[in-house]
Amino acid sequence: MQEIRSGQYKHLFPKYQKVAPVDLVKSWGSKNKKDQLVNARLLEIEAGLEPFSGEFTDRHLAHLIKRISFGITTLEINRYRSQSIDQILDKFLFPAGNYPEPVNNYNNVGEGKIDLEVPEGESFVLAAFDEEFEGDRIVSLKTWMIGRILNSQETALEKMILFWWNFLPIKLWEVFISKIGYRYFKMLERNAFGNFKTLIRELTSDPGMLIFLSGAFNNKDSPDENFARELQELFCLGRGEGSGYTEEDIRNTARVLTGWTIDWETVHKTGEPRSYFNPEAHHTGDKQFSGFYGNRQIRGREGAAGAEELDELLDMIFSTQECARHLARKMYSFFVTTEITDFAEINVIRPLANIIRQNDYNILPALRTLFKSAHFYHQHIIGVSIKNPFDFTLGFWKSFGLELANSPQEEREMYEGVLWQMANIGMEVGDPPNVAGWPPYYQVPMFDKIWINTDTIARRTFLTDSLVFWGFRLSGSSFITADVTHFVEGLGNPEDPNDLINDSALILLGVNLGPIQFDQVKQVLLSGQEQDYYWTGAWLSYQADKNDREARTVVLNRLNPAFQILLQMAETHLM
Amino acid sequence: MKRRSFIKHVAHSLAIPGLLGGIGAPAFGREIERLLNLATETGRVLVLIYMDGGNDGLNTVVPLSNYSALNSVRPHVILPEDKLLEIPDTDFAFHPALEDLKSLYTERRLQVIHSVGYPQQNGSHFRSKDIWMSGSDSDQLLNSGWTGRFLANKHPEFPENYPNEEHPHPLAIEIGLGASMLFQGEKIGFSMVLNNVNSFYELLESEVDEVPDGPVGEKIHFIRLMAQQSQKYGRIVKESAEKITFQRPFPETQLGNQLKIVSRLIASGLNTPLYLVRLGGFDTHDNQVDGSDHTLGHHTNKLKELNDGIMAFMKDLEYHRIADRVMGMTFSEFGRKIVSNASGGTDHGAAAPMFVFGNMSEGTYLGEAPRITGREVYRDNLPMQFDFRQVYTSLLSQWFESDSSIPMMSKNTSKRFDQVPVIRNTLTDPLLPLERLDIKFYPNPVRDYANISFNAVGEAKIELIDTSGRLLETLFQGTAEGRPFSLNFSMIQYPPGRYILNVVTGNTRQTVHVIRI
Repeated sequence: MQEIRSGQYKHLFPKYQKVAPVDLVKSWGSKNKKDQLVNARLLEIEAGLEPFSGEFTDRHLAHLIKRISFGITTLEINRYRSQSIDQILDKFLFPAGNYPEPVNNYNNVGEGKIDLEVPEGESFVLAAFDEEFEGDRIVSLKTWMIGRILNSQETALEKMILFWWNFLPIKLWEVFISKIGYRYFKMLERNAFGNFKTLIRELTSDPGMLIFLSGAFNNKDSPDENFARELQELFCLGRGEGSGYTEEDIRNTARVLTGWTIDWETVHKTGEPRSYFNPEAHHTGDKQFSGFYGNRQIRGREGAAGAEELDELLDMIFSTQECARHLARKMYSFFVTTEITDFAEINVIRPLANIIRQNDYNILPALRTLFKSAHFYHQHIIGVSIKNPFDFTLGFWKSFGLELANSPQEEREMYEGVLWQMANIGMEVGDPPNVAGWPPYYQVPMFDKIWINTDTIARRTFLTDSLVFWGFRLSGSSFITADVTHFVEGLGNPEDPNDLINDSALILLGVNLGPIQFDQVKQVLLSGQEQDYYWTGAWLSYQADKNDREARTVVLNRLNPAFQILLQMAETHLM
Repeated sequence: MKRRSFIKHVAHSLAIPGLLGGIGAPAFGREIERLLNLATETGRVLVLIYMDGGNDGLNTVVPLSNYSALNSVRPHVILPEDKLLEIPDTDFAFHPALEDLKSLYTERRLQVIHSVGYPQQNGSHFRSKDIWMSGSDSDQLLNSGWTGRFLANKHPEFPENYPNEEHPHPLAIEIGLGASMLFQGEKIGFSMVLNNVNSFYELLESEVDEVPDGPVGEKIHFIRLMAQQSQKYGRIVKESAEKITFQRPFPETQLGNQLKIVSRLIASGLNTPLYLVRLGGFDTHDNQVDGSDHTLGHHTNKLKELNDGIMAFMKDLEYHRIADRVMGMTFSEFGRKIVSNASGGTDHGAAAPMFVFGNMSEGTYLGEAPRITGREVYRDNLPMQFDFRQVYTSLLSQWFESDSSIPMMSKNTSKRFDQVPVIRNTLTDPLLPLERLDIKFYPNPVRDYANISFNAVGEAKIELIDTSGRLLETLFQGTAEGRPFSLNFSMIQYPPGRYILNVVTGNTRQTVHVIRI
């Protein structure tokens, strides 16, 4: 049966990838020196992991929910306003219900493109590999991933999956087998709130990872160290000061992992793709590790017992202090802020790592502690993150309650425009630029500022402008528009222009507007009038009779430009 | 020849100065130089000055024909007659703060258009502002601006591949507030927006507004810089503006600061045809005037700001030798009530005067100063003499020489707005005062019969209209013989009340207010 290697179908990518991968890092060139702390003011944060004890305002609540899901709605503010952080976390840190599988919504009769194996509207997650259809299936898988996020309610699950995908990625295009991509997604979903060690164990023998980092082709005669290296450098240990694995350790790790490969027949036939341990390809010699691992030796085993070496390897890696710290740093840079100061290393990362180890790599206790900590709610942290393209686009979608696809069949049509729009501003679903994830989460010294350059900010602004005014093009002739009036109706006190702006800022912006910016928005909302009651009157007239088209037009002609300028504010890009 | 095609013709003839010289009467010399200037400079510019809040027209251009009547209905805000700036040979005067505008008028560089409004005046700021910005009927709901649609007609592909070689500069620039409806097309906005005066200078200096202290502020600073640098036209505007290193002094006021930027951008060679600036504070329900001296107070300050801003603007344009290709226009969402409030102010009204200014202005005035009888009550409003869309259409046609792309300005798609002369016809009429219709009407008030006479050439039409704009009778339609042409007619069949006579000849329209007793 034919093997498939990572990137083998590169020549087909342009046929499906409507937006070529955007290299955000390149544009910054070398003008920025490394090693400089970009935001030294973060050092002023003295709070650590102790529980936050200040007043838990709506701004704190919005901060928490935006960080652990995508955007926030007024409904969520109202629902959780009176609840404790623990109650909120009980609700959010919990796997959500079943989301239907991705289906064949890619048949195109006009182009004579009909997938004979998968009937229209049926799931393709077990479909045999078919070069003709994998590209389309992957696009459908990506729009399905977007649909999941947009449909998710009051759960951190989708954010956790993104966290893992950014941390432990495969690239769907490189793998190019849709059912393997789906399987990888489900593996991350299954372990999203679970145990890090279990996750790494499953990932190591996952067909997606076996292809992406070529573990499937690592055998005793022709070793391939790709996965062995990343397992330590990127996934479990990192390259910080506390990490000391050697090149020899990588070599021996690769030897331990020889024999894990893919059952190619399951790829080319209908059914679940499988991996297995092939003793014949396994390196049966002893594996000697360095002092960093306590000079541990993993005894080589013959036959099926060779598979046990993997568990021994993971026990060894996970017994290092650095492993838990590495995970803690990943959590911090994703959920708190991309830059880790020396202070945060000592007062947040290390105690967090201790919690992780005390709980045998079950991650929930550490996440809970982090999301309840005084550090997490420090005023230098609230609003300091630049929204990634998911948070920006899909968060906006959810906050405004934009229209959703009615069925899995509609997903592709509705969300493909979103997929490429997000790709254009630096983040294509399921395809980070490389195995290290999206650079803003690790690239010194710019970090999350990498998301914003003159091109991406113009595109972000075009998105919000067109959503507010003319409609954002989803595909062909299909446009979507934000119902600003409906959004405003959900706010607490929309007839007061000050409350309207502040409450909208709470939902949409990372921090409240400064006085100059606030006045700018208000001036637009009031069309330059000095008295608040002109807005109040216009709003109440509309509320009194929503069928009054003139009253509605008057309100819309104020709200649209007001939201346009509000969403053009720098603070819109923060969370 | 129609005025519009005439101006077009002029523009085409500019390449052959010899030909013009052949026509030339001595007096043409200065005008030809001007026209040549026009040809070598870049394109024409229209600057719209929005007087936000509803300007009190009756205290801006004050009718003098019945001052005591005016005094009796608006005692709380009336300006003392001896302080008014009388306009010679007319029956109106300017507010004492408008000294420079008066001198522009005298130099025939400013035109007064009396009583501009629209049928079924809406008294809401928001709605009326939308109507003025969109150029709609009062019961038509639009969310695009008249200039936005004008630009959309001319630039259907915008913003794809803009800026480009042919159109390297912003199509419109507005200062103050965010994007107004004025420059919104149906699919896209056409203006470069400078949210405030500051953001212009920040653009020049590559600086941004002050940010909160701390790491969050540091991110805001960074994002603002990126946003500024991403402005499609930011660099063009910046590099262009940097060429201008000297400007004549401008007053340090909201309007002065905005017009200073506009003048600088025009002088820099920026080929942007449309600018919008904004002067707020005209919503004078109370304390419009100083109680002890009506020539002082809030409204006076606003008008002085207007006066000083426009004058400084004109002088700076002259200094940079670009005055001949710039026209300006003031507008406001409505005038204010005839009858004043005891609190020293005035409530939302209807028609009000507009100023159109610039070296190429037609000058003098259109229509006639409002007639006040002294019997007006609170609900009474000044009837309109000109629809604001006539002024828009005239400017687009006569200044931008554009007929084909004049946007729809009514839900009645066949509706056309009669033009009024706003731009000087420089070849036929360079320095002589315009021959006016010089309408004479008597007696007024009318008992049974009346006579109207005026100077006309060719076709003329006289309509009798009631105060709600309904056509009652076409009194005359045909070739107006005689000089002056004269017509006797009867009003016996009409009940006592107010009426309007509409006199249309060629492309001018004037109205006469008639009172039947």
